[in-house]
Amino acid sequence: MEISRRDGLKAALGGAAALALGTRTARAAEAGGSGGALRCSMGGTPVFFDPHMLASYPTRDASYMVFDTLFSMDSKGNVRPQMVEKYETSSDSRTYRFKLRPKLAWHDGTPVTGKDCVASIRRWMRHDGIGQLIQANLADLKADGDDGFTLSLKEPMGIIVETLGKGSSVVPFILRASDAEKDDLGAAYRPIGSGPFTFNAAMYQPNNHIVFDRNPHYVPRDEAADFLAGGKKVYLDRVEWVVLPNPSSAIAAIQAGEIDYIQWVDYDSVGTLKADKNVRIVNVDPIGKQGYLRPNHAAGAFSNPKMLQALLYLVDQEAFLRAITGNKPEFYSVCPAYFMCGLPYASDAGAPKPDLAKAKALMKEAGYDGKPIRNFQITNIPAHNIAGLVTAQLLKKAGATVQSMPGDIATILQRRIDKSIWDLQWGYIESFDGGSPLSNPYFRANGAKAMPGWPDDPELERLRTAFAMEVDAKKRMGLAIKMQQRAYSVSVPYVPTGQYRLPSAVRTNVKDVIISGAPVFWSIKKTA
Amino acid sequence: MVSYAARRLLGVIPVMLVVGVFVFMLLHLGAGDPAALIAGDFATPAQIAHIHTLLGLDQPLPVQFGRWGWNILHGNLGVSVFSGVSVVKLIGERIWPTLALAVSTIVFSCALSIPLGIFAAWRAGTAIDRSVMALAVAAFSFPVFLVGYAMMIVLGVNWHILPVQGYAPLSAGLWPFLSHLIMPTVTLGFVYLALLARITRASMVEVLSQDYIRTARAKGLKMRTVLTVHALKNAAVPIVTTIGNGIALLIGGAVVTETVFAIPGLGRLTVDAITQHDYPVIQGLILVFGGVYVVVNLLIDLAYTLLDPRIRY
Repeated sequence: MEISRRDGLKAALGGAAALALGTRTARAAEAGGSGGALRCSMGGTPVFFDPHMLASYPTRDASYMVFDTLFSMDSKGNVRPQMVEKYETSSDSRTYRFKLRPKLAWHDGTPVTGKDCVASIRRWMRHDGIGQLIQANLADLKADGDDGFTLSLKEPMGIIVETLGKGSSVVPFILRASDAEKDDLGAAYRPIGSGPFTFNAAMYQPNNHIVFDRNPHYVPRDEAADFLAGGKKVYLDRVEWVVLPNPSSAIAAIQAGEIDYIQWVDYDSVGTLKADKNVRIVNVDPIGKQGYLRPNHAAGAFSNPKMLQALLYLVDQEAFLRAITGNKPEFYSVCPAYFMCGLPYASDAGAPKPDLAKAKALMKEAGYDGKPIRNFQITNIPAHNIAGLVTAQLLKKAGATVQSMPGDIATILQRRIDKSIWDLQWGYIESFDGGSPLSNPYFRANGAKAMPGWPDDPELERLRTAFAMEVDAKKRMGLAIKMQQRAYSVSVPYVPTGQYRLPSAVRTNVKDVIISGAPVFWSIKKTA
Repeated sequence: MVSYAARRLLGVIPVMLVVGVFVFMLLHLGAGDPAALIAGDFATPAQIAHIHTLLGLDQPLPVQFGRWGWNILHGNLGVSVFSGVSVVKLIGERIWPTLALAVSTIVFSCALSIPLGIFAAWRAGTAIDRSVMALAVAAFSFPVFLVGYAMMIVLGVNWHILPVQGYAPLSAGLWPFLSHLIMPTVTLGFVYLALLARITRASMVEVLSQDYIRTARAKGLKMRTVLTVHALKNAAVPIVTTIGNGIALLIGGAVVTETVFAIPGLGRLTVDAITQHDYPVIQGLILVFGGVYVVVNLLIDLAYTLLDPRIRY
């Protein structure tokens, strides 16, 4: 038999490919994994990688890949140990002792120690609202040998474990002590953590491509993954976040099989993807986002309490939700709860029903004289843009004059710091942040120190502190209800405009996507 | 000619200085704050102020400008306030996809448009001429994104012939490189094809009516020789000008095509930098674009002397 050069080349290439495949398959099998790379189109990409400094969601999402947490939340809202193997609380709820799991290691192979945890918690406390509450009550925080640490409080506090396992803004991720001891990690910081993925700095292209490789040394908990808790078993070799700036391009790319996952599918494309047998729609965040209409309490129309009350009656959540989702009820829920429906502190206490006549009457009582209400409208994010238009329409229906103030998000985040130039702004909060009076930054009513909008209600702040200190869970629920009643009747830090969910899409060969609130990529398997 | 080129290159300095001052002032006096965007929706004013300090944005404008200018004199365009990556590195990474797209677009459009324009001019006033011009008008009129999406759906999603997004460098292989460029090139090339075909036709029609063309034909020269050697060379000045401007425009302005096909080029870098108010990146890019325009225009001017010996500097 004669073998041509081409046949020889084919055989050689085939052999090399088989060898490469065999190596990869063996590696994946060793890890119990499916191997391969998952290419994902993400809604946003992180620009800074300091997980404590910033509350931006893309930074948080990247941090979940690279870093690990001491505790994490499961699908029932319970906080379960993650890096922690076991912990004990003193009978007076003042002292907490934590012991770390064995074999926890940084991506460079060095072990995670109690010293790392202490430095990380101290750093996180400086940057997080709840952390600052704990810091104010902190008696001592010290390492116990290499594998543990102790936290002591001046007064009993019931939120320690819950807070160490909180899912968002700002997540108490654990950093190496050498990083955590720096106040500023800077824009050039590239994260090294102890999480299930490593950050591939060599392949990083800002605003274009972020690559995470499986951390071969990561030892997951020996339990099933559940929401953000449980065993973070990684079956993929690599996760690539690509930036597809145009939603239609992302849809075409997943249909063509060039990407496997779209974090956020625009509502108009849901029908197209549902009709494609190779793609399925998933919902990784069943609670969704809470829209909020933020009045400026410090100046202008809504510094008048009667106008705040009018705003409560003016807001029709259905109008916002229909407009944002393109009239798709499966993706929204009307919800009167400040602390979000579907989460432990949800309640309808004190919530008014939309009543245009009452809103008009309250505006009249307030002496509203037709002066334009200045409404910020963020135009470069679809939901913000649409909600800005709905806000203007509702105000006009009530007889108000509206001055729209359009701009991109960078401009409006800058301009809203000026108390004198605006009256209203629409935005959204994710479920992790909206679900608790402590984690929701827009629920603060500490005047000049509050987020722009500056609500000022010492009683609401007093209730919040009492909530943080309360050890009994039932009493905390009672305090949450009181806070909501206070917010609806007096302080109105913002008006909730309902909950909506942004669908995700995956190729049908992608299995076991975790319902997690935030996009996480452990547990996921990809078949050929 | 050498002294002319040297004078033109020296003239770049005040031009770039004016561009630099203008861009710096425009960015820094306009609305929008990178620190607010970096800090996110939940940031407190104190956190934003802290980021200002980190980025040096709390310094007076003249100090910021002076520092920027000093760094440029040392070949340092600064560092992205978002990613911490140097602007030179960012531009260096992004320029290759843009250059590849610009070159392929110009090659594609020239290869088709110049013969079409010559053909239309040769057959001026006939149905062929009108058909070519109608095609040119149609190609010019279709929005880039419409052509792009149509090709994407047919060739990428339905037929799976070509990738719908992204860019593969030449190092990844010739076919991956070319396959990622075909759709963006055709999409973008339509506009330049139409423009160049019309310019070529108009210029050739004028030249073909000249006496020396009649003389060439009377001598018995082949029509191909008359068209390509005698007519095209004399009609080339406006064509070369359009091609040169096209290259300069493509390097800075293929934003829509790069966005539709998710090509990580300079156009997308520019848009991202503008939406994020990433001052050093915007400033660096505009300086680069300004430099490209100046150099391309210089090359066009020098090319005139080769095409038309009567032109001397």
